[in-house]
Amino acid sequence: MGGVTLCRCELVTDEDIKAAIDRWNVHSMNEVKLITRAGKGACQGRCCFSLVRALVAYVLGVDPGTLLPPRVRLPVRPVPVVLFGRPGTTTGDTISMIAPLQDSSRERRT
Amino acid sequence: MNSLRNHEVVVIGGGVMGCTAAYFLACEGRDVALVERAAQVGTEASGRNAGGIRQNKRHPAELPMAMASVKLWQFFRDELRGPFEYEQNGNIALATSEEEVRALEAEAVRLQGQGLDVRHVRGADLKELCPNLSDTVLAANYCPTDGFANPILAIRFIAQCARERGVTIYLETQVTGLAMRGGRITAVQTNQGEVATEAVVNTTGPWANEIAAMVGGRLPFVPRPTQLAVTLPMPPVLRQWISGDMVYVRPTQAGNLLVGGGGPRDPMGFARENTHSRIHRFAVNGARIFPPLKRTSMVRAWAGILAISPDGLAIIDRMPGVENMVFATGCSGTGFCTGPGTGKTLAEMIQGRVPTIPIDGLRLSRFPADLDFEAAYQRQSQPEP
Repeated sequence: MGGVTLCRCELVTDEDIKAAIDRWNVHSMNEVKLITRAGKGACQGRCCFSLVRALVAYVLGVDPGTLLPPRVRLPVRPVPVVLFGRPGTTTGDTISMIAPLQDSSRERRT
Repeated sequence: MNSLRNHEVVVIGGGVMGCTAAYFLACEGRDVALVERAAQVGTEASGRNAGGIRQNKRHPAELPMAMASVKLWQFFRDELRGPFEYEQNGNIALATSEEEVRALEAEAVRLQGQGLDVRHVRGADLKELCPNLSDTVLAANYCPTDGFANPILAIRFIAQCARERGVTIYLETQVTGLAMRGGRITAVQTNQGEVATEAVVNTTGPWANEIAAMVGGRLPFVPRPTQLAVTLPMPPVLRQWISGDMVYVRPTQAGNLLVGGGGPRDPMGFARENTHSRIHRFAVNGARIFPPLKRTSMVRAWAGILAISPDGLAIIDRMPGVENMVFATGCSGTGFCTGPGTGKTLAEMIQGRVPTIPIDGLRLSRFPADLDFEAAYQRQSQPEP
């Protein structure tokens, strides 16, 4: 596949993203992430988010500022499985304090 | 946004079952509306699960539904050319104690008797099949036609097929009431307006009682969250879906490992949260059955809501007291896999036909009418220590 690589973790190009928007009727940054994998890699979108959002906004013909970022998932940065295997590394049990802020049922197209 | 008009059939809930039911109804020439409250289809359990498509370990009552659903998944992949990463790489249910080995042996015989190709494997055969399994794994039941798909793409693909067949999909449309006359639903009321209709399908999973309550009913299941986590991609170490020791692990096409697994005593509710104790169990038990996990990192965790029935099997039936409404819920974590078969069954029931897939063991009537499952479930559930 050709194009310019935007997400370097998952090797997703601008062509991949344009094709996904066209093929799957995509309207949000979260859908772009779920379908193309852009932002699903080691950096979780920290490197590519602005580039991907600019492209998505251009293709959809909307202001980039109206596009919500994709859902943030714990543990935010990759954590070695062996570390999670150690007991008692957090004080409370519930660790997803960010995800509920972006409930999918409240997700809106524009 | 489509403005609402009247439809012959209204399907409530845009998950895998609702989309499939809508698709098969449209194939029979019915004018169908699919009503989904979120901005896209498949935003709840249908898009949050691990994508398992499994016949292995199935209860006798639901094995026919699982086997029929595999055929339908193949139909969507092969006949309709669905690009949803469906791979039949096999499912390995493993045993780590002699007691579990004996149970698996008996189960293999039982499943084979029901017509499923499942093999009891151990020793060198097992090592050859899945070289990176832990040496603590004593034996396994292997079903070669099982596998997994990408649920996010799968649900969108089925919705697209439904749309091409003429189904109207109303997104961001929440059902607020059902108008009844003489034991029949005459219209579905939503936040976007009213749809007069002849028949209704309730495929709202763990929210099915919100819809049931609109006709004075209550179905015996509880909502319960379940968690999943995914690792960074790594070189190929696993082909199949493996499960045992209260966890499952499966590869993705991108090379990540997906780890999950719920517990029968997990607390009920709608909290889509991740907990340290559960990710800790994924790490410890996951690495116990599959040591390569120790070489990678968890990169994301998420959660979704299941509908848990009293016996862990789906409930598929006509809604009591309502002539023209059918429902399916209570899949207890297997709804993605069995979604196509269940959707087809619901479509056949709406068409007034006897379902082609046997559902005798999945009817509502197997439970006593006065069963208070929620209270019973709350008594026996408890958080992890």
